[in-house]
Amino acid sequence: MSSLWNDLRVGLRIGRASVRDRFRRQTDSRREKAAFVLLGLFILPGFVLFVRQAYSLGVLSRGGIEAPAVLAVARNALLPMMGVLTVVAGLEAVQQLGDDSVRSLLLTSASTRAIVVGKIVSLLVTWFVLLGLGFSVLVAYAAGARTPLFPVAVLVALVPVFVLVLLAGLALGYLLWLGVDLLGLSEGSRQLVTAVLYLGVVIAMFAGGSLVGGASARGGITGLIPTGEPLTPIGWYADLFFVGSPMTPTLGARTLLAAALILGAVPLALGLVVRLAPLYWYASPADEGSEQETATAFEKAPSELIGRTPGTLTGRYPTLRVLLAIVRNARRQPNQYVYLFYYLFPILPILVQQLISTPEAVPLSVGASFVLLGVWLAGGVFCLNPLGTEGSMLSQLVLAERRAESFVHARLLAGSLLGVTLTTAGVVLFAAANGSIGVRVAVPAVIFAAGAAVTSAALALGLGSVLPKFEAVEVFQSIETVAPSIIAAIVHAVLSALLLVAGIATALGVGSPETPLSALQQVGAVGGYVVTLGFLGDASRRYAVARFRDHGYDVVRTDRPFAVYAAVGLMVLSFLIGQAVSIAAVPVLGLDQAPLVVYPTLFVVQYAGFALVAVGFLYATHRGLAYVDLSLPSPRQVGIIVGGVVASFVIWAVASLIVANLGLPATDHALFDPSDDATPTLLLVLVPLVLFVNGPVEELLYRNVIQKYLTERFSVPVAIVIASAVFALAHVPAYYSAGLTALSFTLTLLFVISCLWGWIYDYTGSLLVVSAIHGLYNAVLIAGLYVQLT
Amino acid sequence: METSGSAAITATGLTKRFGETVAVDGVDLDIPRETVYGFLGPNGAGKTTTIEMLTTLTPPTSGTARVAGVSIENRDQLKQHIGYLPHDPPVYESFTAREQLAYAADIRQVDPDRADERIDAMLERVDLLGDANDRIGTYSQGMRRKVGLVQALLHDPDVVFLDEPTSGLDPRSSRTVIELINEQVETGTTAFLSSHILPVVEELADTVGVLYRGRLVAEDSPERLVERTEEGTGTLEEAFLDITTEGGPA
Repeated sequence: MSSLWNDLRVGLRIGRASVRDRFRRQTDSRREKAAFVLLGLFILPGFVLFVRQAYSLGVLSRGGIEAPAVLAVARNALLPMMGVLTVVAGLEAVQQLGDDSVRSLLLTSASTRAIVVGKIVSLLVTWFVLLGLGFSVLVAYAAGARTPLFPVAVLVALVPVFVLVLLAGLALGYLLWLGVDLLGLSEGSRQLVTAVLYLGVVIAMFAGGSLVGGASARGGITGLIPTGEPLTPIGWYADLFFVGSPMTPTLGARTLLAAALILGAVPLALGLVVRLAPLYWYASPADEGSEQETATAFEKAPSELIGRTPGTLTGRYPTLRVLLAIVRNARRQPNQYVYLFYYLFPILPILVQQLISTPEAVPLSVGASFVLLGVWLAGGVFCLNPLGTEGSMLSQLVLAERRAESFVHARLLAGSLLGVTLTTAGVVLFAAANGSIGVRVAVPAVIFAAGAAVTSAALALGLGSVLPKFEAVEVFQSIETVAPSIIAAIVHAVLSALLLVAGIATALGVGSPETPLSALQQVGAVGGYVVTLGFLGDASRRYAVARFRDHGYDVVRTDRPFAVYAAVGLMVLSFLIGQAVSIAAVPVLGLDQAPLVVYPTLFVVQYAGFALVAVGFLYATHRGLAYVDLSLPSPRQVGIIVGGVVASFVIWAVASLIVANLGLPATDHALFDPSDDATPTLLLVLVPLVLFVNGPVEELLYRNVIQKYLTERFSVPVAIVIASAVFALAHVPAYYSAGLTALSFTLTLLFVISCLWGWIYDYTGSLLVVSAIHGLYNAVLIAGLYVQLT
Repeated sequence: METSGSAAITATGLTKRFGETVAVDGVDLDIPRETVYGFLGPNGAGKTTTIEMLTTLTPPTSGTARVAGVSIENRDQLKQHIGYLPHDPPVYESFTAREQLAYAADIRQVDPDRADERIDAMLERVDLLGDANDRIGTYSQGMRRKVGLVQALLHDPDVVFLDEPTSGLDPRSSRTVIELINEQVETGTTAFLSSHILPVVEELADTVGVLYRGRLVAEDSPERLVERTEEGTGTLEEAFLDITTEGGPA
């Protein structure tokens, strides 16, 4: 007993250390931290909305609800869910001890049982962290329903289930591996078979689920919801999750039996894993016999082998020779790409389900899958970790005389060729299977999907350069590879899928006979899509080149076009983040608040988002807060402030005169609706806000960050012009509704005033001076509007 | 813990095959307690595989061995008696040296108070006390190796297996490590030392075994091995080269 206690104690320590190490490694570089925060901010609106909804639902269910359906679903779903999680755990668990850097320390220090406990603890923590978001929704519901016990019950009831599932997953993983090992296959085939087996199990789970659903007589989505008693006694365990909830289950002997079964299975499973694990951990290293065969041919005709034969394409273009090397490396070591199987996980189960339920739609889905895979793999195979996959060769390549462009472009080319082939085949297959898609849609779809694939490759190069991964990890089991960083892979998969969807929508918009778009709008849609692709693709490509060339430095020397992209990118990002945090703030504020509370609050929140982007940029690029010019204005500079405000109004007055003389329509900021009764008071509230929030934050972003950053690459006048153009463009959403003529006139006015402010900023080197001018200018304008309205 | 038998390591016919390849071929060992055993051999001779078998990290294809009186088949019991510094020190790069060593002491179940004292003393001994709170990821190869060595010795093991303990160390650090190993042996530990740095082996080892193509082709004291060179007055390096030359003594 004391030895069991000891193993549990040591296991806890092992788990804790492993979690700590993993957490620290995930947030190692500033760029990684910034990427996580960014991702979090984009998820924020949806999350807040969920929490708010859950709370409201909780309020509705105060005093208890009759929910036999919920209980029935939980009871029936428990065992299948445990099955799916077992496979997930199996996948995750077997690969972890492999990449544990203290593997030999653990294996020569701690008992097998302690190591297994350590793994379970570390996986358990990871799962609970992943569940954290969902759990806060549950807490919100419980807070609404005033049932504080509910989340506690869920937490307590989940622990044994997770422990059992993790142990079962480990056992499954080890058994699978040992089974494959028994076949005595070569290392390569063994790894392939294992990966396919894992995939097969996942697909089988989903297919099984669809068969159970299909057996229901009622049909439709509701037909999939089980209502009867659970098929196995385990299902009654689900009642424990609802203890203290408004659903108030009546716990009986069946629940007790289920709990006893689950709790009793834990030590049995632990015993099994403790027996199986050493067979896996201490197994013989792989046979590394047959590596010599291909190498000897090299001596016969080296030039030919590395593609330098004169007169050939590869002989003429160094980039193509690098491409040859990349493809050759890929062909000789296909194991390194085993992580690509993850791309199949979201696709194959759906295909299999369809094969069972609606076989006639399979060709369509295969076509669509090819297109999606094409876009994903264009980046996923060769581009998502351009620095890390070079391994020990990286230092040689960085020091080579060949330009960094060659190495980046070779990867871009390899990824694009792969991606375009797949997307084209996919669209053709899809169109052939669906008679209603004519050539007028198919041709633009082929072109736009190809564009998305090429951009995806470039995007992957950029993302992979922002978040490179140099350490090898073990994927599935014992397949050591430098897989791309997870966050880069996720962001790339989401963005490239969005690009594809936009591309297909554009193709439909220009090709479909029922298109709602006018000819001008069609041109606009195609233009917008092409510009987006070009912007993302070229910016990513240039960044990847800079990261490659300056590998080893925190701050890299990007080129001039990239600086312009970065300026526009910061503007777009600040808009998106501003929107995201404002949307997230709405449910927090409550939907029934008066406009006088809502507008000013959202205004401040949105500008906080802008400020976050500015500060985040300085942090992630190691420029630091010292970059911000915070000196207090001298008496002379106070004079400049007054002069600046006057000069701004002179420009404004000239513009107003032109508007009046030419009879152009006037424009108002979208925030001000003169027909709204609350507007005058709202204007008064806004006066201090524009003075102390809008002015300083916009000047921080557009002058102190964007303009100053641009002066690192351009002369001061050029930097001022670019930053002012970006500043004007940033105001498009605010004046968009005014019509094209009025919009362009307003943007021109903003551009001119912004140039003046940019010049003043550069002349004084003081953020506070321009902030004061900007704030005062806006404040006076709004105060004027107030006077006009009252 | 008391263990039976007077030898620290015994092995009979220890063999490891990987498919057709025989990595270690019938190695017999009988290493007395409180001595240093120098384990030499060219690259690929099977040294690491032998150590992995003795530390239970990989099972032998055939043959038996006992370390500190415990059979290598009895893994969980054997772990309590050994320390191991592999070629790549097993450390979390994100941990500081102090965190890493406290962690190692913890899973070895060393009493916390004693562990803290010993960690401080040993860090000072290898001149790492000033860097003890920096992350290991920022360390040089040599510093990392010293952390690995302290980790292997922290719990006063009966037998410690050291794979290249002085590689990458500057002369002063090498000297410190050699002294540390000597001190540890004086307090009752047996050291199994694999190294290519022959002067270190010559200075430390009581007995030297030479592994060549998986077989133990020579085993003697360094002095006697040197006497076996052609002139009889060479260095251990010359003796090693003689023994491991193609067609040399088998």
